[in-house]
Amino acid sequence: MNQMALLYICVGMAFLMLGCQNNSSNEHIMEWAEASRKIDCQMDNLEETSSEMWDKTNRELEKALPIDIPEFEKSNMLKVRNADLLRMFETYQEMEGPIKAKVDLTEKMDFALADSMRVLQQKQQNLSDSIRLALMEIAAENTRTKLQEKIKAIDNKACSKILQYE
Amino acid sequence: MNNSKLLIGLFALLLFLQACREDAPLFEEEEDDIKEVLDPQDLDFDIARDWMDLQLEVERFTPGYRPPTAARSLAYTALAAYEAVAPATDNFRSIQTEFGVLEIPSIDSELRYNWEIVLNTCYSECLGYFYPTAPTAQQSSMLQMERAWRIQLEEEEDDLEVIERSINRGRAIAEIIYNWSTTDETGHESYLKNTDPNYSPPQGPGLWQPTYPDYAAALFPNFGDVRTFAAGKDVKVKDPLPYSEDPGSQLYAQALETMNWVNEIKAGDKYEDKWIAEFWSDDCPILTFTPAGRWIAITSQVMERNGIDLAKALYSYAKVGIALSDAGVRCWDEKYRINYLRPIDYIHEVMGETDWNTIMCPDGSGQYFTPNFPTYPSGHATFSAAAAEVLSDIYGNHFPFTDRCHEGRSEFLGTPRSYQSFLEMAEENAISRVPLGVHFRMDSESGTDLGRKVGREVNKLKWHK
Repeated sequence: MNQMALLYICVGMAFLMLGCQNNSSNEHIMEWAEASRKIDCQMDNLEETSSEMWDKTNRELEKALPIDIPEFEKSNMLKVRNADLLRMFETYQEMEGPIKAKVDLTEKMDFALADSMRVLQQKQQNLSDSIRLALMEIAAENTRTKLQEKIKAIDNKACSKILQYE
Repeated sequence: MNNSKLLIGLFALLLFLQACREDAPLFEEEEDDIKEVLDPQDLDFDIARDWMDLQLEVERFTPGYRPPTAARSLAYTALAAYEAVAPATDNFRSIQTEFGVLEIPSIDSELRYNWEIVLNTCYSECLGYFYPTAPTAQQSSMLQMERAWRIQLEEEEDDLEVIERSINRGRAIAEIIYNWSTTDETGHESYLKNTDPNYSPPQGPGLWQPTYPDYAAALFPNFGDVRTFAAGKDVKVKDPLPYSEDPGSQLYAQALETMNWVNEIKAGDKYEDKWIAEFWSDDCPILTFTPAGRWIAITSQVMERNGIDLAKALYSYAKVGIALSDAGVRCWDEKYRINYLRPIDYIHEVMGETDWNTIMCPDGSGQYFTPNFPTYPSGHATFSAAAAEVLSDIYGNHFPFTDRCHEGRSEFLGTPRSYQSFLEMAEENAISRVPLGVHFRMDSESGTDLGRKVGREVNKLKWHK
């Protein structure tokens, strides 16, 4: 191979690498957007889990309530989805240990879910910052707009599709 | 191959590769879409109201946010939002110099900010900082609020640098205000320290003790040490009536008034007094927001009625928030300095009516409560008068208004009530504690007096340019 051919190859490879670097950056943006949407869905799941957990605990609480509990107190207690307030009811003080343990556990699990949600929120904030900074580095408005449209499409994806392989 | 062929080849390759690289045009595209700059006074206050409303929901359902500490969190959040935006307004200025230690970064007047993005970020960060123990449902509400506003605002704002700059400002201010709040040792995380296991209430005739039926430990016995924004330790109440068990004494007469008023309501009379008592109660955790939060809800309604701009809304929330926070601190300091007993103990022990109880916060089983802290001065009266004083300063002494905070509630009498002024509202809020059975008339009167003094101190801060 002569020197000239070698020069062609080197120059070609240099340009190719520059082009690939940018495509790879765009791919990262899409990956981050997917990850961010996944976190949205995970957070929705945590909220649903908490809600279902309180529904279940309240159904068990209803079964454990004394038969002669005043209707107004019963109705108030069953509306509550918070251990702190449940503990304020006179009837609750007199209830058996197992249902109190269930309420305590539900409260602990709820706080654990809330903690997970805060961790996910921080992760999502980091992803969102990375996406924005990467988009800012793209000089062509046309490319940026296309990417933003793709991100929007990802943001609108149904959670059932996002989490189906979980 | 000669040099010119080599150059042509390289140029062709360059063009080819540049064509693949969509983001790097050979020629700069012209900026043809100059975004109109919207100042805070050009924007409506929806974003501030949404976040403050959400904050009331969060304080309502998060354990530990009892009145004075709830007021403190409301104040810091409202102050952060105000400080983030005030320097860009025509009429308002940063009040950081009033506190000496704050260093709020200035705004670059050559650059554009999106003030709603600044605020969405600032509120979101602040709620994370000031409500770190919120249950899952409320945590989720905070995230959804941030997400909904972010998506809407970023769709409307096409300049990524403006978005970046605005987010950074919102975050920076929230962090500065939060870090400052953590230097207030007693106030910081006081939602985790409602009671002090080392505190024993002083013993003696006329002094407060935990009360029937739950005998709960003293709430925030050290809250008087919390740092205030404007009202100093010299903002005090006058001395209460001297303690006396003499049936001819003024104290006996006031205890009799409280007892009889409750008894008449229990007998089915005095419907309007019962309505007033329940309308202003805001005592039962989770049933409503706190009595301090009530005045933020009133502030939102006032702003809706007047249709004000974002700048004035942030000013109103910050000023009311600070007044409520200082009211809580000064009131709790005075409560534990004076340590006056609650009417229920006087009625049981001195008047011999041992079966008598209040009508506060029924749980449905016939159980009624008395707040677990000394009676003098009334917290509700102090909060309401402090807020009324600053709202009068902003919106005028004569302000016909209907409070719809509890419209549609079936658990208690929440039917809207109408007033001609903020002070009229505050006075009714103060006296509402007597027919509920938890205060003497003197508590309500002294609380109103203390709250007005606090409000006047907050009005003195240099809010205007």
